[in-house]
Amino acid sequence: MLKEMNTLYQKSLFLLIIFISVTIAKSQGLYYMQFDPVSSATGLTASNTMAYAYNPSLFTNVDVPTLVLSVAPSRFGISELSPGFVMLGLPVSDDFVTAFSGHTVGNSLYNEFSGSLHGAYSISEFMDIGASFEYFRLSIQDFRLDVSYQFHIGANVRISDLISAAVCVKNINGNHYLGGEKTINQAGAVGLGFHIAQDFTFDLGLQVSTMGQSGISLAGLYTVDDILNIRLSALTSPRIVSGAVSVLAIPYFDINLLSSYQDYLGWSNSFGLSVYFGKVDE
Amino acid sequence: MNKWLIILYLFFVPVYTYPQEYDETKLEEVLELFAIEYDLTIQIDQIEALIQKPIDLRTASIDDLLLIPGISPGIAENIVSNMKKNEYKSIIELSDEMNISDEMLYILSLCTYISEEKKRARKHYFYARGRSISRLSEIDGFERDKFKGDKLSLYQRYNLYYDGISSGILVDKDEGEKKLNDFMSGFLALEYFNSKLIVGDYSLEIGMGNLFWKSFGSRKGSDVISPALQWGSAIKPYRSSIDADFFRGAAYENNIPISTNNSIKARAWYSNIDRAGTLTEDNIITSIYKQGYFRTETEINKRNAVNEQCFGGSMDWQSKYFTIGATVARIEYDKGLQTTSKSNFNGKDGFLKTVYFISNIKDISLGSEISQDAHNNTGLKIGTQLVKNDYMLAAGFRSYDADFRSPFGYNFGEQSYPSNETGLYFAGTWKKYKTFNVSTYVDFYKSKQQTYYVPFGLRGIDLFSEIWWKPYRKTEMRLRLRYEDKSNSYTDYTLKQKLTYQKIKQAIRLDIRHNVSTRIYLRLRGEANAVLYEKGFDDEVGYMTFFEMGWQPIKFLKIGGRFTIFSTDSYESAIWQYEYAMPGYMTTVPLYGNGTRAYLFLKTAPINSIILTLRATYTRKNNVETLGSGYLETLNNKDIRAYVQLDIRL
Repeated sequence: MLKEMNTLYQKSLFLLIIFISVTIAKSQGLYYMQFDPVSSATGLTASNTMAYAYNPSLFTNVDVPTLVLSVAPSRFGISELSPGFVMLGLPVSDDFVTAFSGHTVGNSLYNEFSGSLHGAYSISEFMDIGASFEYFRLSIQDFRLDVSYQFHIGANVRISDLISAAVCVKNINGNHYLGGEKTINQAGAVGLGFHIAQDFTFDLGLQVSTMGQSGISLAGLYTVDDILNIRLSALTSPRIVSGAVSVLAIPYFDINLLSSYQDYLGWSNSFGLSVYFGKVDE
Repeated sequence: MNKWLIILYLFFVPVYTYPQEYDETKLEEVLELFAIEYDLTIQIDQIEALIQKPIDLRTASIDDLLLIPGISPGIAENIVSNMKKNEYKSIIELSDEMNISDEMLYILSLCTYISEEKKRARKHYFYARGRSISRLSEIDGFERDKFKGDKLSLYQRYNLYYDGISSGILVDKDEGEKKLNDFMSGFLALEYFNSKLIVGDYSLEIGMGNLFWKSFGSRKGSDVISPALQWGSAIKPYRSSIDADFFRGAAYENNIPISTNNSIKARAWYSNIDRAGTLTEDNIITSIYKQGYFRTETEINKRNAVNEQCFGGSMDWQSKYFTIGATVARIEYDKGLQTTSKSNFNGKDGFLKTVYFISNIKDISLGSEISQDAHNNTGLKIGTQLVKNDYMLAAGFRSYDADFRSPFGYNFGEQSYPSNETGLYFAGTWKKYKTFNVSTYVDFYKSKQQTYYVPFGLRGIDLFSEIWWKPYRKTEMRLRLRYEDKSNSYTDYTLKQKLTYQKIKQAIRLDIRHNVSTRIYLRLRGEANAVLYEKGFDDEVGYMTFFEMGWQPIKFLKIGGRFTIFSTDSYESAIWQYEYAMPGYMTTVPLYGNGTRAYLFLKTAPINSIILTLRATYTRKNNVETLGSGYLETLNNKDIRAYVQLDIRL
């Protein structure tokens, strides 16, 4: 009896996790959405280094070797839905940065894992380009094991001292799981960022997904004395509001706390730690 | 056999000289100014003709400049008077003086020159073009054997100009058509002194276009000023492959000087052509078929359904400050036309009559045309422009009787044909600064009677604004906002009747182009729209973003591509995208549903006189079984096409 209940519980949990995973990220990648659901294409309102994974050209902002660890425990109150993220950014030269990242969510029953290699290059004083290669694996115990390989590209243009524009395309090669030809998840985002004041930036973005969840995003970042970043953001579809605080605790570490509310699924929180192996330019 | 001979000929024609080159991606942006959602092939053909035979600004008249797409009488008058007053050595100097936009400067630099520049005043040239488009996805028309011809699509054009004599032949076959010369067009044009004679295929542009205009004119778009006062310039050789709305026969034009400031421009023409149409068993034509495809039995049966003869003449008195003219044309069909489409003639024969005038005094231009069709229905158009260096203003009014039938006319308004519409248009452009300008228009319109789609007549407001900013020499931004409130209808099956409602469409677009260097550019765009229904349907949204790059790694090679992602609730919230497919060919793609579209191109000129362009497009949508509709519907959710074009210019 107890065993049957456990099986029933596992099946229910399994279905719930799949449902939520699909709702959040429409599966096949886009893991960063699970940490920062209102990502910024320009990166101007990025409250920590992890946000650069959204648009690989933003990795040119990594000036020193950087390690990022992040976890979102019990998303929407479900302990099994606790994704973890690790990223290492390595400047190779003044113009070129490479980065590695990994992400996992799930348990022995349902598990998603992705590993990415990123590269970003400043092709001029005004423009950066970047690309990522992502290996993505989905496993469901005793049911299926699927793998996809995706390329993401991005570019960032500094139009003036006050304005930046950026674009990124996810899964430009249109890869998909077996049998997923009719529902390939590809996404693109274009954004415009504004330096309103020395300590305040905001950006306006358009996120377009071939899975139907497309919307407009708005985010603002306020910096207090170069040690505290406060970010507020909103997305129209799915409807999400999000707040983040990032504290540069001591010169080589910062701590990031993010909380977001989706009108359909509820609250979710994440915690991150960034370690800088060198002095961060102010 | 013929096609291979022609292809071989294209490859082995000896080559000697220098081709006039242009940046096709820039031309795409420029042409996009002239329209929001419509075909621009005619304008490209016209620009390419002028590239080969540019106009000398030192001696150009207003009529000459009106041949250039985007040039209105007010702007032309300003250019002519500025050229008379100043000794400009280059078009850039003229542009600086007049504060001409970057786009217009680009068009002028392609289509005109100043004698002192001595750059392109060629006395003779030969130009050949071959283009083939292959659809790599299977489509319904071939799968069900509906198409009578093979899959080959081949467009060929040959133009020759020698010291005042120009000629051209165009041969076109669309996929599914039977013959390589399914559409053929040609002309011989002679220009000597003040006269012009065209034998073969030609188009007419007279007055403000109530009765005679090229098949596609300017549409509402970010060039808000010039379309408000369109003024016909001349008889023109027909250079397009669009199988409709041109004349076949002979046309003559003579400009007779009377005094220093006065002249008479006289035109006469005769045309005899078989038009395609739907012929009933009673020997009545119920519609004129203008699509130009003859692939299926039904389409082939429409061919040469009715013979049309048109002859007429016009006379314009041109003085220093005004032009006034009148035109009369008779049109005769060998069968009666009983058509419901208001863009078609109705009846068997009749006279079309029109009078028109335009005045250019200092910075103000004012034009008007009043016309009568064969059944004495009336059409009226009035337009005015004020062209200053810092700003431009324009206004236009049009009113056509509900049954006004003008089969060759053109309307700058909500509908492209001049009938059943009254509208008022206001526009302004502020361009005080060279790197920043704002354009806006508002158009109010209503139909006088029911239209094909709306049973009780439609009404609407169209509001448009665009901000163009060039913060740095290498970067341009364009923010476009559009609001449209327009009637539509739906069928209520409970009440068993059609009901009208107002549909509001709001759209915003941001477009940024950054030239990384002279050899690399990046372009990105985001666009969103919302469609709000007064009743009957749920509101909708649509989104689109694209990313485009071009690279010229070596002097004779350009490569690039665009990747677009779109997501819209339905066709109603579709987002339209221009693509400059090949030199001389532009497509407009409606993006709807959820999917992606990508293209790659390669353009190379291995030797100066040959340009080879290759292009591939890929469109895919999620959650659908097929793409497109009708005979062109694909058998799966992908549409892949390959394009190849060869240009030879001697």
